[in-house]
Amino acid sequence: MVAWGFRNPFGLAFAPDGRLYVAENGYDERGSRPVWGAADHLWVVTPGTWYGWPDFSGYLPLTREEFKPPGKPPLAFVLATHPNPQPKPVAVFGVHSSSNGFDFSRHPAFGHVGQAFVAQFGDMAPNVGKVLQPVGFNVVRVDVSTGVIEDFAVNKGRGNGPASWVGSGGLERPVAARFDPSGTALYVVDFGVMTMTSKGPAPQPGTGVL
Amino acid sequence: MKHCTVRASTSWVLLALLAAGIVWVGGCSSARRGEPLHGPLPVTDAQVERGRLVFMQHCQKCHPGGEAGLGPGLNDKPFPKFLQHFQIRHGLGAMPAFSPAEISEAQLDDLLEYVHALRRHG
Repeated sequence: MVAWGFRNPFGLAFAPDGRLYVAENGYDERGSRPVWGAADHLWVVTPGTWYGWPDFSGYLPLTREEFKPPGKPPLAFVLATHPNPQPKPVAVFGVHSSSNGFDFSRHPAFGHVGQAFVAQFGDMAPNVGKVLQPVGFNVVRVDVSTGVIEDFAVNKGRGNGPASWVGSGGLERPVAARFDPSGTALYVVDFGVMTMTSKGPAPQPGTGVL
Repeated sequence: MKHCTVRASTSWVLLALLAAGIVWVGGCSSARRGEPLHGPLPVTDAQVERGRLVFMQHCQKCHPGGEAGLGPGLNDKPFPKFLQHFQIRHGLGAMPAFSPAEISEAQLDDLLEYVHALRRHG
């Protein structure tokens, strides 16, 4: 075991300096212990460290008022003791953005060397919790030295969202991003169209692209 | 009768001022809810940069890029700084309050500079 206490460590990549980073999908407002307003996070991995699940979201304990789902009692810790002081995340992504596969730029021809390019699959509202506007559905760039997140590849339109919702061409649900061996091109795997229905996720075959 | 006429005209003046105020405030801000037309906000001012760091730590998760997400958008709201300051310190509905221990007054000033720069960028 390298590290533990991640809820869903979906993305994994080594930075040019050799450090390992993880993109973690945060808690949802569903299941036996719904949590409201929990972000996805980017972490730098220190071997042997516990990263907070099931009692912390990023740096924050789940006992805070802001994580209490509306109309429900405040959350309590699950663990009696915590293995180590809670680490601080490198970056805080949008709640329900589903920040997934990512990679680091290594070549000056592409630019932003040492920064992470993170595919955000997009929210699965309302099943994971409601949102006011779609979150994710794009590729963001993260400066891991400051935690600043900027849109890198995103659909233009009336609001942030997948191309099928915005009514334009472009990204649906990016799920992974990898640079080619030369480091001059970023490949993005787009899962394709997947809407959320009363019966659960409804992926549409034949809509995925690279 | 003269008394009633004076009160009626005062009401109209107030209504006209209110309407003008709404138009003025609305006209001073961007109405975009989507991606900025001219790409990301270029940050050259030190205070705006400091504010951006505060935003990324505390605000990004609910207001990604100042757009709506879990929370409402900021980029299309013409609210003045003193109102935003109040809301950040006291919370509103599902939005938590941020104490000075979490966001100091200096950081809050920086944060509001960034939020307004983001809004002006459109």
